[in-house]
Amino acid sequence: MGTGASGVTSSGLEQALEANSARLLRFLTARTRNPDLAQDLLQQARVKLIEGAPPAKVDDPLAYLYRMLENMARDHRRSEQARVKRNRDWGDRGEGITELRADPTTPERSALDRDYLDRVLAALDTLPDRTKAIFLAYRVEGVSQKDIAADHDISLSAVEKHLQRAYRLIAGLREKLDAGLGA
Amino acid sequence: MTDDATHWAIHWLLQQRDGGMDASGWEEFTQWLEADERHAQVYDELTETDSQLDEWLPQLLETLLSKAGASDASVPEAANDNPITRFIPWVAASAAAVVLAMFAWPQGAAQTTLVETSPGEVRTLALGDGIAMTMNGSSVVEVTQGAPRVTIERGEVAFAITSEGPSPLRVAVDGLVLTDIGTEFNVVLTDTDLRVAVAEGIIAVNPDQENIEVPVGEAVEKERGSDTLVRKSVDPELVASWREGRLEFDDTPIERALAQLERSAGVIITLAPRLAGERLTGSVALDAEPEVIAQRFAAFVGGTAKRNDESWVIE
Repeated sequence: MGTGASGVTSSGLEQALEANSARLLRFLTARTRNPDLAQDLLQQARVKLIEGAPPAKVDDPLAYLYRMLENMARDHRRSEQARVKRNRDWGDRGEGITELRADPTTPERSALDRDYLDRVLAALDTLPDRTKAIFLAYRVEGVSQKDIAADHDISLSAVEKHLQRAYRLIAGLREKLDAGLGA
Repeated sequence: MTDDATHWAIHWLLQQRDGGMDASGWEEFTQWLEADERHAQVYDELTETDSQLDEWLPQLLETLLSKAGASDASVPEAANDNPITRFIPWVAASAAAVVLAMFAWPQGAAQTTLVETSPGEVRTLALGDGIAMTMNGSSVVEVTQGAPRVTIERGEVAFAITSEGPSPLRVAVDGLVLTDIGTEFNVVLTDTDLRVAVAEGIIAVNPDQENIEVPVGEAVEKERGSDTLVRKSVDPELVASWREGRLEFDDTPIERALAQLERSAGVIITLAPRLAGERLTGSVALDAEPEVIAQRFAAFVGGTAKRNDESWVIE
């Protein structure tokens, strides 16, 4: 009912959403490049907040809402892609095949993914040890940039530089792969 | 331009991953997205790449660790003034935990024990909660202490679960996770293939994702590293007959039968070329000296066994 002693209830989040709906909608529109979808997602978020259980503790309601909408935008994109992929795969399957796939991708696609993985591993191996260690800690261990900075006794911006280098390398590989595919 | 866009996309991704982006950060992010409509696409592609990394965590870790460990050992450095030298052991120590997290196993359950059997050695371990794990010879598994979680590295392992209802057992093998729904099942992992057969009840493959159910009388097979499973039917009686000291074959390729014989009895047999590709139906008892077992097997395929150092040749 009322606001708890600590944190914000979901009605607090609802209020924050209504008070900031214009800027949140602006964000969603820029993020999805689709004004109708942006409206839809904002409405879905409203419903979620009304029906869903309130989160345990929210320090910054507006940042929480942005994060929630970002995740919804990503989920939407993923499920759209999966749907397209499913429709494509369906055409490939014959009648009465007893094969089932542990992964909803096509065999060609997973061969490409494996190829991509091999390239990523090879590329990461060319990075300096410190960059590799920082990337591992951040991306595999989930250590925050702040803690990595403290561990290595370097500045936050230096940590970001290492991570930029590793991510840039991986993202670049993907571009090449997609270009090679003609996708 | 694209380069700059990538730089900023990575910057925003890092900010968001850390969970430390406040409302004004999100406002700036919005402005960046609005500045050029290609920005959203660059960002979408980057988040996709980033989530792809999640699926690869075990491989990333394995490869990077082996390389990092090797270079660490070959380059002697003072432990204290180089952060890397204390960084790498720390990552290594938590390696198991990360791989487990990938399979949705609780973090912090990193204490594991490697159990290995020699050829012909059959060993049964109780994993608690009414779970018996029987390892055939030439097998290697990693058992997590304090939890019924097993990673099969190589060989053949049968699980029998007597507890009521679904057990907490989770078995990881070649990228798959198997869970039990009141079960007896057998896993064979060779250098080339994985085969999971169910003798009783039902198991689930990758319960947190595709959740493929395999009931009694069925098996799923795949090539190592592949993500395509093929469903087969099997005779439940024969699924783990090796535990009873005999091998039963039902239209089994002779090569697979020989591999079983080697695991279960430690008897290594090579074949005359004319026998390659044969299929067998029937059973061989293993309660005898290797010589007798080899002769029984030879008689079974209509040949004779000749000794050749440590192994046998069937002609």
